[in-house]
Amino acid sequence: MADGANPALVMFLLYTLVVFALAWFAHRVLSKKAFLSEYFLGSRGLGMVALALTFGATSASAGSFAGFPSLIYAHGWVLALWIASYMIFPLCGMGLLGKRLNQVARKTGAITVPDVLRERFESKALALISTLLMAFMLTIYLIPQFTLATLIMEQLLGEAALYQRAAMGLASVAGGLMPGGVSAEYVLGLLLFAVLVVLYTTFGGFRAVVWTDVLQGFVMIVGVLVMLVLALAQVGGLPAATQRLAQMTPPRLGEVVFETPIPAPATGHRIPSDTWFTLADETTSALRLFRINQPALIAPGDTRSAAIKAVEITTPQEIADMLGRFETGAPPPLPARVQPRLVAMAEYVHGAGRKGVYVTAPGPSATEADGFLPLGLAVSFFVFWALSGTGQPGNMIRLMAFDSAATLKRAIASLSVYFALIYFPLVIIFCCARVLAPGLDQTPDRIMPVMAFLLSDGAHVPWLAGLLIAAPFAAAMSTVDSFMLMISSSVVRDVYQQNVNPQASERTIKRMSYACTLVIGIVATGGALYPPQFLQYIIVFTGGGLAVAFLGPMTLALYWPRFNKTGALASMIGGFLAYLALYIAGFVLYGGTSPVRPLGFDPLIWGFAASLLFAWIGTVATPPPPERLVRKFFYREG
Amino acid sequence: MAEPDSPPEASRFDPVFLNARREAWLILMAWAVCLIWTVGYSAVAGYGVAYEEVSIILGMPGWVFWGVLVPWIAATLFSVWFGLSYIADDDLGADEDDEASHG
Repeated sequence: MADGANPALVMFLLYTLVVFALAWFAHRVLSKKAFLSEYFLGSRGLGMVALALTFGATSASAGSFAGFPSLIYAHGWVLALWIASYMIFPLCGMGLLGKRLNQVARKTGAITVPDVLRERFESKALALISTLLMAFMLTIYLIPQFTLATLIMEQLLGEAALYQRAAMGLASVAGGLMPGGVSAEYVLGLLLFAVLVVLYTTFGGFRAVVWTDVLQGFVMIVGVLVMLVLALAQVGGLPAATQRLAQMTPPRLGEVVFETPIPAPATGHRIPSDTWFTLADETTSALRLFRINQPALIAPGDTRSAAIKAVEITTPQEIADMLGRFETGAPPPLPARVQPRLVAMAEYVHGAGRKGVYVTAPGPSATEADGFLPLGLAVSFFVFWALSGTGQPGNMIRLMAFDSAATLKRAIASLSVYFALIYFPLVIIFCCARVLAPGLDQTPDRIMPVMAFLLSDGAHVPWLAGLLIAAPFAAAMSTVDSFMLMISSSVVRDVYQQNVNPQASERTIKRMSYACTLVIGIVATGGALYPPQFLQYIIVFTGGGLAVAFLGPMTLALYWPRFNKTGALASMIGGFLAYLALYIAGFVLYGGTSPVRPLGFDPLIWGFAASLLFAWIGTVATPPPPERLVRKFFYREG
Repeated sequence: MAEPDSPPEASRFDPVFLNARREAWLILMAWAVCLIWTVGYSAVAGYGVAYEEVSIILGMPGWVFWGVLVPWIAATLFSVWFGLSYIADDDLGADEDDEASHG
């Protein structure tokens, strides 16, 4: 495909231009207003559309558009239950704290979350601890977001010849400096993403972040709704898709090696990822159908490839349908004399050979004997999404930035409709994906871009793929920009200005803010150069940890007059340590990333319970807060 | 220390605090209702069911329709009503920094 005709590339360039234009306008506004309040809080002037979409776009991280679709694809309809608490999340996330937090922030002139806590309890220690905790956890959180955004960027631009040439150029110039295990395409994508997001965030501040969030919010919903219509049309309607899912049995997962009796020629043998092949069953001589999920290469002079991931379809009807899609009734032949040999194929631990597992709970699982979503975990996730979202400092900061109660009211109503139109349709789209794009169970993270191209090609509108893939990219970007700004605001305001240099001039603060945003971007980019394993687990762990540390103290600070400094400190530290302990115990006992889940409940629930318990003990065991603080925050003025 | 629930004290407390607290309790109740409805119904109708017993309504498994989609629609309608009609339109005050810079 020619560069100029690459729809994804054109879409990406257009998108980048608009983002920079927004940052430029935001910078012009910034130059006319008080720096700190404007740069970090948009002068507390968010209107309804901006508040609803910046809240929604920040909450919907890359996980919503990469991790969530892959889970739907892998486990089926049970994901509707897994995500169900988003039905009430806009009301909880904005309504529970919104009005009081905004009022208290106005009363104290607070522009960061630690600011609010310091003023409410007159405690520099509490502000400092919360700043350090937030900066540490958010920086860790940023790394997988950068990594996921880069993976999406590779999917978005990887086929463009210009991108491939640039990556080859980068490899020839700096190949020796690149970390092991990552490709030049990955490093180029990471650098492009980092430069784009760091520049516009540093340059435009909070207002640029909010304006781009609004743009990204529109991109996300348009992308999802277009995909929904195309998926339903191409699958033959939702009843057809669900009936097909009901008949499906989970695949077998394993590895395959490709072999040739004579050494491969000078060009080698390359078998592309997603290639189908069949083997005859040794006992019944029925056809077994497989799909590889990675490319295989038999190097020149070699006779075999490395072992690569493969999926075996096990549902007879699915096998017949898939074979029917090929012109000859069989997959295209492999290169001459190349034969596959199965190394290992394993059954699912839960659901193997059973029809109906994709349309019932707890859903099939390749690794968990109790299935994907046992009842205890279903309860946990219902608590998790609503409480974890409400407790995120990134969401709290937005609640400090709206202009009036009327704005909050309309934003709650709008965001509720917005989330209903995004999350439930995603479940439908990726249940259809199991039928439309089978055999990708070993690399399900790719299902979003795969579906984008499949649906666009099926509708004969190839440029649409660019728009559809821009949706997850926008989700990653809107989370990253917000969190970078929040970390720098905490460091500049709560560490530097409050503890190091209270007399700092606006010019110094401005330079510090720009430098800090830049440094955080560079640190996260450096971290993502060594992409961590278990991205989704890091996101869940850090998101949950922040919620446990901040939700209890902030809620009680706003609603319980008797709540005091000791209670707040005990709540924040005690809740976080309880949460952390269950993860450490899981690592010690199981040697992996799974935490210990007493009674089947997630550590977030135990951490939150501990946070409330410590808050109560710490408060009632120590003297009440000074009367003037209670008067200031809870009594009528005058 | 005076608690805001005692009648003589109520009039001394900030009405924004009292309104926000009342609204927060109702939000928590709404969340609990959603939890009980969604997880409760799904536990009964969606877990351990043979696929032959799964009905299909509007193209989705019956337990997803009644246990997730219907409460989702109900929660969205409730949130719209709650946002537009129930939340008090309180005056949240002026920004202390603005006051300082202007005054």
